[in-house]
Amino acid sequence: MRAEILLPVLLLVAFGGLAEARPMHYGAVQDPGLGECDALAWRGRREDAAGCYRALQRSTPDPAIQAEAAWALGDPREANYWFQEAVRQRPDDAIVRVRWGDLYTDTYQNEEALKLYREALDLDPENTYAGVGAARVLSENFLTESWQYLRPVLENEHSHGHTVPDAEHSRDHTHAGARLQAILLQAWMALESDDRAETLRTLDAATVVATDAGLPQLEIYALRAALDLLDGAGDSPWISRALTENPAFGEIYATPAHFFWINHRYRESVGLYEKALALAPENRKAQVELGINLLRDNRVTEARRHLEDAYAADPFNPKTVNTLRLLDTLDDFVLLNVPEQPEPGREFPQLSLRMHKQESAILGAYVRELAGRGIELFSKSYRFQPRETIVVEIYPNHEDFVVRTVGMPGLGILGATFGYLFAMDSPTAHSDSEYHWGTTLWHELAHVFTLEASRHTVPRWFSEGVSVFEEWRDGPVPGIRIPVDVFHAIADDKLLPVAELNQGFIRPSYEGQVQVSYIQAGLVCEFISRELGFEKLVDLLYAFDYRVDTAQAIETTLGIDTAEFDRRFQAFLDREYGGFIFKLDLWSKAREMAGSALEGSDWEGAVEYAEKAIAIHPDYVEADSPYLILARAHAGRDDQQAQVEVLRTFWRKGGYAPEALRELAIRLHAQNAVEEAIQVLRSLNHVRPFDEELHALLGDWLLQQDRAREALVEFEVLLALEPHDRAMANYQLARTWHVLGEAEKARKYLLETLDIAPHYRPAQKLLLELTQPETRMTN
Amino acid sequence: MVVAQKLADHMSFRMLSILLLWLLAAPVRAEFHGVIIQGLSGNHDYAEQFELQTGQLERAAMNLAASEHVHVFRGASAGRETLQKFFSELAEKTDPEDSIAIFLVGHGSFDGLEYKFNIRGPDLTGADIAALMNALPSRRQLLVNPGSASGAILEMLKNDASRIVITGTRSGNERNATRFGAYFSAALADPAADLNKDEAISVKEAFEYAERRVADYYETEGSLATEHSQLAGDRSAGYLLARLGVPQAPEDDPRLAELMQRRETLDGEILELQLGRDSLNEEEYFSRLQELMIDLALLDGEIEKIREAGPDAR
Repeated sequence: MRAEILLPVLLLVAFGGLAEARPMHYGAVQDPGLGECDALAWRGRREDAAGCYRALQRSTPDPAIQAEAAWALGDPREANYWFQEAVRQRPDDAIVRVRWGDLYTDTYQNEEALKLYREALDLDPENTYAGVGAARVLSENFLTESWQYLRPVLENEHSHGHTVPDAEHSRDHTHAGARLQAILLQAWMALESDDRAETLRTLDAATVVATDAGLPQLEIYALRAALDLLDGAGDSPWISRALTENPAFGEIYATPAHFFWINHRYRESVGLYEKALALAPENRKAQVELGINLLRDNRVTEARRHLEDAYAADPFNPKTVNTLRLLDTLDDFVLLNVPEQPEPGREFPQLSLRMHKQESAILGAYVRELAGRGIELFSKSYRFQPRETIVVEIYPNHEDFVVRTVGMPGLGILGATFGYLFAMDSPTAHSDSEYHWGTTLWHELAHVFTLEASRHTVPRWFSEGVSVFEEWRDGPVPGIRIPVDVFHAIADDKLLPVAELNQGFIRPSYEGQVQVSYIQAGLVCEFISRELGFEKLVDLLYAFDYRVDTAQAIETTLGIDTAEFDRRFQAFLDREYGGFIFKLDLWSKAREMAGSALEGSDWEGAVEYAEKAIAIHPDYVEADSPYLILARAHAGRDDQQAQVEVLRTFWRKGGYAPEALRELAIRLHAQNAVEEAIQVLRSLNHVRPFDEELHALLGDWLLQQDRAREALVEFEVLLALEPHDRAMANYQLARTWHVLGEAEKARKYLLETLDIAPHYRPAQKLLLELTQPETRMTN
Repeated sequence: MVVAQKLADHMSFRMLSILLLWLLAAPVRAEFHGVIIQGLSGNHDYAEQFELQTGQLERAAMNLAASEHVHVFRGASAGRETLQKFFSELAEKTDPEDSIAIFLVGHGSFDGLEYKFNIRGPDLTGADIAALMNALPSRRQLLVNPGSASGAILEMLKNDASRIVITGTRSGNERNATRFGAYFSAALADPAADLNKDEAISVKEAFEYAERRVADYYETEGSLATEHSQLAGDRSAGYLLARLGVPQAPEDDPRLAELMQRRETLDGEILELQLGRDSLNEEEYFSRLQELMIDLALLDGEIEKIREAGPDAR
C-alpha cells in the first residue's frame, strides 16, 4: 500500500552553531559517510563531528543524508526541508519517513511523528524502526497501543543470525538496531514503573543485542547508572565507563535525573541535571528539566535563569514556554510567611503561602489555620518535625497549577507535593463550587510528612494511602468515603496485591484504576492502623529505603509476607464492606428508585426508597448520597424537623453538599442550635470561601455568640471579597473591633462605612458612642 | 449640571454618582410618573412571574408618586394603539422637570433587523418605543426593558443625555428568556440593594443588585450566562426608584424643614470633601470626615426624634 506524502509544516527556526545532540538512530540510516560523522558525534568529539557533517553536506547528493547532517548541526528547519525533498524523490522509502518522524519526535511534535511512522508502516509493515518510533510516541499516554507496536519488534530475533548473506545481514543488522531501541524503551518503562528486576533483566538482553550487532551501548549504561544511583549508590561504574567512550555524554546523568524526579527525589534530580549540563551545555531538554525541578524545590530565580537560557536556544519546547508563562503569572502572587516575624527558637517560618494577590486575604486565614493544625497533628503522629518551611502554592487557574506540576497543561489533578513545597488548585479554579479545597490541602500536607520523613523513599501507593487515610481520620470532613465505582471494583476482584499497588497509580490497566488505587491504598492504611496499630503504620513509613521495597518493608515491620497481608486485608474488607457489597445492586436500585420518586414529586416513595438505601449503607455520603434525596423528600413533605435530622446525620458522617449544608445551618440557627449551626457553616469555608453571604452570616452569628475574634476573620474575608454591600461589611468590622475594645480600629471602619453611606443610622450611632459618649443616651 | 460636567473630567465614576445624586435628588415640584407595560407571557409560569414583577414595580412607584401618576397596562389595555394614545396624552401633561420611568415586563424578539416587544395585537417595535419616548418633554426619562433580545434597542435609545436605558441583554442576539427583570423588580423592596443605606433605591442600586444576582445565578448553576444586562446614561445614581419602609407624609413642620435644610447643606459639605479627597492625606481626610459625620449623625438623630414623635408632638 502506498502512503500519501505528508507535507507537514515544521514549526522550527534554525538554531545557530552546534546544537543539542541528535538522538542515536542505531543503524536506522545506512550511509558510510554519515556513519563516520555519527561515530565522531557519539564519541563526544563534537567539533570533529561538526566538521564532518559540514563536509557531508557539501558532498552528498542524497537529500535524506542532507537532512541528517542538517539535523546534527542543529538546523531542524533545514532538516525538515531535506526530508520533505527525500520523500518527494523516494516516496516508497519507509526509512526516510521514519527518520522524518524521529525529527518530529525530537522537536516535540508527537502527533505529526506518529502519522509518519504509520505511513512508514503502511509502506513496509515489517519496518521495525517505524514500530519503535510509534511505540515511543504512544508510550507517554497510550500504553496498550504502544505495546501493540512494540511487541512485534521485541519478538523479531533475526538480528542474531550471522550466517545469512550480506544483504540479509544488513537487514538483520537494521532489525537489531530497532530491537535494541525497543528493548531500551521496555527497560525505560519498567524503571518508570519501579520494577527494577525487570529493568535489569531487560538491560541484560539489550547488552546482548548491542554487543552482537556492534551497536552503541551508552544509553544502556545510562539506565544501569540510574538503577545504581536510585539504589542509593553514591556513584556508578557505568558513569565512568560511558564517559570513557563519550566524555560529553550528558545523558549519563540526565537519564538518572529523570528517574529521580519521577520518584519524588527532586533535589537529587537537580544535582544530576546540573552534572548533565556541565558535560553537555547544549542539552536544552536537560536544562528545561533542571529548571522545572528547581521550581519544585522553590528555587524560583535559578529556575527562571535556566528556563530563559533554554528558551533562547530552543523556543519551541512547550514545557519551557508554558513554565516561563507560568513564572510571569507569579508576578501577581504574594508570599506570606507564617509567622510573619521570626520567633525565638525557630530558624525559619513554619509556613510560606504563595497565593494570588486577589485571593490571599480571602484564603490566607483558612489556609493558615488548617495547615497549622495539620502540621501539629502530623508532626506528632508521624514522629517528624519539618526541618524547613513548608511552602503552599494555590493557583486560581487550574492549567497554571498543572504546568507548575508537570510543565504541560491537561492533567486532571487537584494538588501535587514535591517535598516541602506543594501546589494545589484554588477554589476559584473550579466552576462547579463543589471542590473541597480543605481536603486537598490536608491530603497534600500529609504527603509532605511521608515524603520528608522517609527522605522521599516511600512508594507512591504508601504516600497516597497515608494521605487518604488522614483525610478520613482527621481531615476537614472526617469519615471514610468510598465512591460506588470502588465498591464495584472490590466486588469484581479488581484490587491489586499490595506488592503491586504502585502499578495502579503509574501504569493503570483499566479506566478508573487510579481512583480505585487511591482508595485501596487508604484502606490498606486504615487496615494496618485498625488491625495492627497506628504505630505500625508509622513504623512502615520509616521501613522504606532505597533498597527496601513494599514486600520487604511489610515483612520487616509487620512480620508477615505480602501474601498473608493480602489475605488479612481481604478478610478486613469482607468484614467491613462484604455485607454492603453483597447488597450493592439492591442498594443501587433503591437509590435509583428514590431519585426517580423525588423527580416525580412522590415524596413518600422517595422517603421509602432512600431510607432503604441508607439502611443498607449508612455511611455513604458522596454527592449522590441517599441522605440528600431523603432530605429533599422531607422538605417536599414540609417536614422540616425530619429534613434537619437527615442533613445533620449526613454532615456528621462527612457529607459536604454546600447548598444542603447552608440550608441545614440556617435551620439549626433558627432552632437555636447556634453552636452547631456555626460549625456547619464554618465547614463550608473549606468548600466555598468566596461566598460573601457565608461570611456575612457566619460573622454575624459568631458576634452574637460573643466570639468577636472569630467573627473578625469572617468580616475581614467578607471585605476582601469586595462585596456588593461594602458599607455593611465595613460596619460589621467596626462593630467587631468595638466589641474587642479597639476603638481606633472601630472608628476607622465606621468612617469607611459612613463614607459610602452617610445616613446609615446604626453606624452614625456607633460613631457618636465612640467619639461623644455623652450623646449616647440621646442618639 | 455644568458643574457636574466640568467635574466629571476629574473624578471617578463613584464620585460622579455621588455628585449627581446630590444635584438631582431634589428637583423641586417635579412629578414622578411610572408606566408599567406588561406584555404577553406565553405560558402560565411566565404569566405568574410577570404578574409578580408588575406588582413589585407598581408598589414601588406608588410609594414615590400619587396614584394617578402610576399607570399599569396589561392584557387588553396593553395594545399598541392604546399605548400610543396614552403616551401622546402624557406628553401633553408633563413638563421637562418631571421624571418618567417606563418598565416593560415581558418577552422581546429580534429578527436581525427589528426589535419587537410582545403585546396583544401588533407588537411594539423598537422604533415605536423610541418615537413614544422622544415625544415626551421630560428630561429625566428612564426605560427599563429587561426581557429577551432587549439589547437590540440600546443603541437606538441611549444617545439622549436626558435618558437612562436599561436592557436585560447585551444585544438582540441574546434571545433566551432572562432573569434580570425578576431581580430588578425585587431590588425595589430589598434593603440589600440599598448600598448607601439611605432607605431608598436608586436606578443604579437596582441595576447593580440585579446584575450581581444574575451573575450569581449562572455561577451557581454552573452554566454559561445567556444574558448580559446593560445600563446607558450617567444619571442612574441620582434617579430614585423606590423608598424602603413606610412612605413619608409631606412634612410641613418648620423646625423639621430647617433641619432638612441644614442636612442638605451638610450633605453638600461631605460631598465637597469627598470630591477633594485626592488632595488630602488619609489622616486629614478622615479627620474632617469624622467632624462632618458627627454633625450629620446628631442632625439625623434630631430629625429622627421629631419624626418618631409624630405631628401631634410638634
